Amino acid sequence: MNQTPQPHAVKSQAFVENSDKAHWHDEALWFIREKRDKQVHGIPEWERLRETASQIKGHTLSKLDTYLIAFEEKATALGAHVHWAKDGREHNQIVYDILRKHQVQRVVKSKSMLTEECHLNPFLEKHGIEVVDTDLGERIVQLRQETPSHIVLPAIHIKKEEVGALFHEHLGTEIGATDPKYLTEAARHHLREKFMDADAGITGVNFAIAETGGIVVCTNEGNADLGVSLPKLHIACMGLEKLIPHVKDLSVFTRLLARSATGQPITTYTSHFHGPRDGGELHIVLLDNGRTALRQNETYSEALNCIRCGACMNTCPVYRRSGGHSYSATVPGPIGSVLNPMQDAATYQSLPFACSLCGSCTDVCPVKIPLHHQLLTLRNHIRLKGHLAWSKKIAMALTARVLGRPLLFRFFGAIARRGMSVWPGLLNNRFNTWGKQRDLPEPPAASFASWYKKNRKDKKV
Amino acid sequence: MSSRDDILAQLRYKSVIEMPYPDLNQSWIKFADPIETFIASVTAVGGEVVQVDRETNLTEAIDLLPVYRTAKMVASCSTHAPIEGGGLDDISDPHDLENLDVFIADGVLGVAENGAIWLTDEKLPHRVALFITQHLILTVRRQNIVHNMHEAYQQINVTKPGFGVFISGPSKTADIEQSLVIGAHGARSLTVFILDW
Repeated sequence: MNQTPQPHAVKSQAFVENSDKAHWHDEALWFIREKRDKQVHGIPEWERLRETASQIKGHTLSKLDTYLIAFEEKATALGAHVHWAKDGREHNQIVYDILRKHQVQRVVKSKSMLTEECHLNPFLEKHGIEVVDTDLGERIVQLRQETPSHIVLPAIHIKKEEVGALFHEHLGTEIGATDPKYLTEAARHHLREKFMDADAGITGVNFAIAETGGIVVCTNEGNADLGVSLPKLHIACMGLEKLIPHVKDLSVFTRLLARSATGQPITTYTSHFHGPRDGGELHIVLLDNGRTALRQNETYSEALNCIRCGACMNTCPVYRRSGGHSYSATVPGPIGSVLNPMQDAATYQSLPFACSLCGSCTDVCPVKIPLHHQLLTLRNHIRLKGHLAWSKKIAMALTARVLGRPLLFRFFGAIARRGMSVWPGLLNNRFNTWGKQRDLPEPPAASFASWYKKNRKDKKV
Repeated sequence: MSSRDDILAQLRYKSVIEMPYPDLNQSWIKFADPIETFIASVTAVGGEVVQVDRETNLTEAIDLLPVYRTAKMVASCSTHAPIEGGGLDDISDPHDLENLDVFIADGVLGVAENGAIWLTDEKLPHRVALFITQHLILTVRRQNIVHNMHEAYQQINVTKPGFGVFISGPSKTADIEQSLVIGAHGARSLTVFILDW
């Protein structure tokens, strides 16, 4: 169905061409990473919290069937309707059927990466239902007919001048206005009207509690709460991995989530829904879409620990310098580079290579997903599946041959040292992507082997 | 086979070793003066704190707030600061609260580590009041301020009533170039009265 997207490296090229903007993007994300660090340093038990969170997730996933059934039973007893969807198509159909039954024409939606994953908006729009994303960042990308470039900061790739022009066109703000406060105020008024007119509210789910059958939704703007407390119909869409066993587990996750995501001690609103409100209806849609398959894979199942904080993106040197859209996926960055190829290795074959293996993502992950280890082994997974790009295949085969034969290695080494000083274009040419935007170092006069022979051979090391 | 059965069958297809559930009964952060930390936390997330003692008349203290003085429509579900005829009982449709300027409610407890205040809709006929109001005023009793989220979840009942929320500061967004703007969709300001009784 999907057209194979261009590889990450090709799409990043367009991003880095605008050097000023790419630099700004890098700094904006690093600023959030620094805010995160400041919060984290205030919590002496941070590492213990991460470990505990990881253990809770591991435990839950190992008994996921039991916890799902318990959740369904409790939620149903509270008066909620629980639906199960195998894939995005079924998920969208379920949501549409509920909306149709209630003759809904206008929906307000708070941020939900899951509905992005299922492409719910275009599906509902095709059926004549107006869907308005109410998170400010998501509304901006929706009006631009784009997708979010970050899971927590959907519009991080857009400059305020661009938002100003967009709002001038759609919301009638003053031409040339770029003040974030003014633009946010305009969006507040525009979206208040949408909230007042909505027939139903759709939200994502941050945590679902097996013990009680409740769901927890976290926002800073208050859009989820406005969206579901005016209309009578609330549809909450969640991946199976959002489950946690107990209420007390929330104490661990609410401490980790916002600190990791945006460097706040907690999100402004952390709302707990147990059953529908009086006279209302609550539907909870549980989505699989590859999650059960991922759970069966011992090497990568920990990726299901993810609580979608985005910390791995904020810290990733590749993400910061290439932008979320270069990943051509709903979830970009390090975690996306694991999740997407696991679901579709052919389409997303380039993503595990969009990584310097620096390990920063693994360090900041609040649920201790071994991201850079997974990204490394995924490269082999891609190769075994036969999706390695031909350029990499040839380069690796040649390198393996040369490195495996000392004579050949010495021979080519001598040629390269001599050749590079006479003719720099020998190695630094258009076929060598490492030479792009950088010069190769001065070649040494002699090889390490000959230096070693001369200096160390007879001496004790 | 239904999708439900199919998903459950998938989950049971391959046996996974049960991972142990961790002990959450650990030593978590505590503060020398949780009240002081709570005040600092609320301030850091953009809220304002007013401490009132037994001798102070809370209603008079609220009257002094500029947001309250200039408000056209006010409502209160607070037992500490009720407003004559300002309850929500007479309102049948939550949409009628569209122009609410100030809303006052009582918090169940406050959390020092992040300035969050736990509220439920037990005494709120329309929970939307908390979010639709332009300015929010919350009370919390001094003795109900806890150190951290672990203590908070031990003390609250999340299942009854069916809706509860931690609110930490006024509504905010930084979606345009990471510039923090207070007053995204929810309240533009939050004033917390710590009651010394």
